Amino acid sequence: MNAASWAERPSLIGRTGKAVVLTAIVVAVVFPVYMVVLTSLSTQEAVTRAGGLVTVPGEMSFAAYEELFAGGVVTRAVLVSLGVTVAGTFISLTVTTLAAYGLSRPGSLLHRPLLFLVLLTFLFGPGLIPKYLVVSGLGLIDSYWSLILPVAVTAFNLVVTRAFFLSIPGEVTDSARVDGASEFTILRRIVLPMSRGVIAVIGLLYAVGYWNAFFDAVLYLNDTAKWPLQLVLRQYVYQGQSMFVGQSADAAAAGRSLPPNLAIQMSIVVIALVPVLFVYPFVQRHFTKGVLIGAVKG
Amino acid sequence: MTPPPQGASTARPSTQATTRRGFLGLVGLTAAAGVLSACSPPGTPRPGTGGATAAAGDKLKALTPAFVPFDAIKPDLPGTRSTLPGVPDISGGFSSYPADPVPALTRKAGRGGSYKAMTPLWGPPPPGLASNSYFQAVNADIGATLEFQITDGVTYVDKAIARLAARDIPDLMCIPNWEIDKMADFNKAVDQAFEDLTPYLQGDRVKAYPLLANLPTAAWQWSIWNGKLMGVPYPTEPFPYALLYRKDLFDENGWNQNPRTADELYRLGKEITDAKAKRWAFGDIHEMAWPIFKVPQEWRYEGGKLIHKYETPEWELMLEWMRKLFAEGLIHPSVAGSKGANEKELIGAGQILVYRDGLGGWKELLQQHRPKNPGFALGVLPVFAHDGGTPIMYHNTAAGLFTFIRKGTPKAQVEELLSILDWCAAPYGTKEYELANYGVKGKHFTLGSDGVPKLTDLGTKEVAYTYGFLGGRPLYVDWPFPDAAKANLAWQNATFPYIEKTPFDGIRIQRPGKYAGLQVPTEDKFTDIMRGRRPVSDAKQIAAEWRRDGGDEARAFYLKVLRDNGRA
Repeated sequence: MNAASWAERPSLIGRTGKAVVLTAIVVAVVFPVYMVVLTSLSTQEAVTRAGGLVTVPGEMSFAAYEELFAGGVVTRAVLVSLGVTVAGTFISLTVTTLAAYGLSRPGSLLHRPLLFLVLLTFLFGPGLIPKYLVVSGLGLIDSYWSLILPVAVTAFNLVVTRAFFLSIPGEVTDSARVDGASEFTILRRIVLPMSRGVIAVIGLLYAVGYWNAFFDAVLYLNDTAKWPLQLVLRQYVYQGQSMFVGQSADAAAAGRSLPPNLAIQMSIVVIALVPVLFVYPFVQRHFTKGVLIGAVKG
Repeated sequence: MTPPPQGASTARPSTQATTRRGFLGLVGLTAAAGVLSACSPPGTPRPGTGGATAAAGDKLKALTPAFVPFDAIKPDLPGTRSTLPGVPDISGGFSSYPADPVPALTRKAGRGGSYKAMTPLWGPPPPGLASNSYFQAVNADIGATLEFQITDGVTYVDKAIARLAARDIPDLMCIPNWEIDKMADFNKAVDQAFEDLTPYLQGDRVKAYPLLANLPTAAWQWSIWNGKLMGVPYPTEPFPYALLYRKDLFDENGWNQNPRTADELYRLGKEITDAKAKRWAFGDIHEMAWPIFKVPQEWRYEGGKLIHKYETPEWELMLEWMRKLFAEGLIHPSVAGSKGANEKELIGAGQILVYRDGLGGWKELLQQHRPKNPGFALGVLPVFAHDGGTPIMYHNTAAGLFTFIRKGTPKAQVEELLSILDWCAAPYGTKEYELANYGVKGKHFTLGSDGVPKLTDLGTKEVAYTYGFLGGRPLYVDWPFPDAAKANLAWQNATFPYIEKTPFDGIRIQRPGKYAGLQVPTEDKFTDIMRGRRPVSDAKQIAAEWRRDGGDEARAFYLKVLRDNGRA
């Protein structure tokens, strides 16, 4: 550590204290993940013996993952989710940066009333039924677009991006303009390269949003082949939990009514977690910087 | 409701049932909604008082289809034909899978039409029609193309509401009863969205659909809205839940399997709890403590007044007793500590010994544990009253789910759809049932060494419970475990005479939304008492808050229902 030369060396107690606190925090975060991963790799007997989440490794097996990926439903859903996430994030970023740039230029036509309308969506959600009416009116039912277009722009991300753009000194864009650059060129060649941090951050927010979304799919997709991963995994979690109280005979009981064993539920958590876990470290370095700058310099 | 024709029932009436004939005058149905919603998915009922209605049984009687039992199937374990108004039948059961299922229909059900059907699913989705040989095989047998719009069962109500509001209605739409309870103004929606089936099914007209005619009258009565027969019901079993216990461990240790009072159950709990051995007596059994303490299922009518269960002295006794179980550590700590503990996992592991569940949980646990632990056994504690007196038990509403037909469907197509629903209503033991539940023999399932169908890999991938949700059929106990099936039916038949009569027998009520919305927040407060976070003396205050927040309003509504029906 490169402590400033004037700073005192931290005392042993202080450093030990820090280590203890940090270790405790890390354990508090890592231990649940450890239990989840371990349970997902345990056999049914090990889970039964533990009576819940497994903490001490016993017999291991990949059976839960094999069952999930057998049959192709989950594999297909992974592809759907990847497609929706990639396409959705690209569209969202494009639309958000364009809108934010326009709204950040003082001379834009009607930019104040438009910004007001955007801010209004912070306060009022459209509600389930109006949203459904719009989506169905646009003919998007059963189309992948229904997962992207209704959520393509988030007011929060738009405002953060706009605030970031506003923080770019006017001199920079003015000099570009003097050199004959059009607004598009300025955005593409000057503003966007200076805004990598904020774009990485809102890109991650959008991507995580698309990756985790299941409810729009519940509403708008009737064809199960188009279901994204999160919705399919949810169905595994709820397997056998029919609300038919007291009906022992046949509801939801056609041969495979066994409730999901915990191992399968936990392997679902792992599958849902992994992509985010992989992407996060690459974006993390932008995270604090991007959001803080956007938030403080309003 | 007319009594079922003598000797015509698929389940032999037990002696207990015949003693109940005297109650035939009070025709009707009881709202077990309290029971249902206590177990319903997250998402509390929507506030608003719209949709609260009631219809008297006498008016319903003329609308229901005639009852013509389907005689080709006889269960070898007898049930109880319900002559109690509104109480579901115990259909009986089978101790083995019929080696040679009989065809229920002789003609093709469909006429080549193409239809879409929305059904719930609690499980992984199957591949769609184009790439699913199971759907294709069943459709071929039906003689029409059904394409399912499978929807997540847990958030089903949200999609159903959106589609109803947008008038985006599929040809066939299944809606569970507990979801209807959450919809304000369903009474209006049902008229605008769905076809009136009265002209097709009323009285003897149902005879064109012999398997629909086999559905119990009580279930049909639940399918009536605004004086019209609007849907095809899915009948239920009578009992919402019971106390299940680990019979193998009880046998091994010689513990008392027949407690007769609340105190005996408590002492049993003390005896069998051993925290050091990681063994606790109970899961959260409070819903079974209600009938044990003779708390009314919902309302009690006494001296010209309606008293809600929260206001009864029995309720406070129940709270005190439950509090004792929690306080003395007889309930598993992870159940007591959080809401998310999985009691099925815990009883499977032997960490709890007695828990509350629907009788279906029994089968699930056996399926899960018998293959690797042949000695694994569950039992069900006989019902008893806290003081050793005559017990009571609650019952389910007579139908759990309905299938509706889209409004504006031409007559010929309505008839084809009803004929398809007739096919789907084929009961256990028929070829149609086998195909709908397990697919094609040799392809989607094979018969195991015990003679019970077992899905193949292809079957596991492709077969999903879909056709089964359309229409309904008598619910037989069809477990591959004869010992458990027998014990289950013995308990059901023995418990049937103790079914509690409620003031609203004979009246179909949709609960007012505001009243329904009060349930979860109020019972959360009572939970605080049971778990020792509030004193028992707070119970009266909680009941007062409940009255203030809408309980009294609901009482007025229910009292008016009684008056309108000449009962108060």
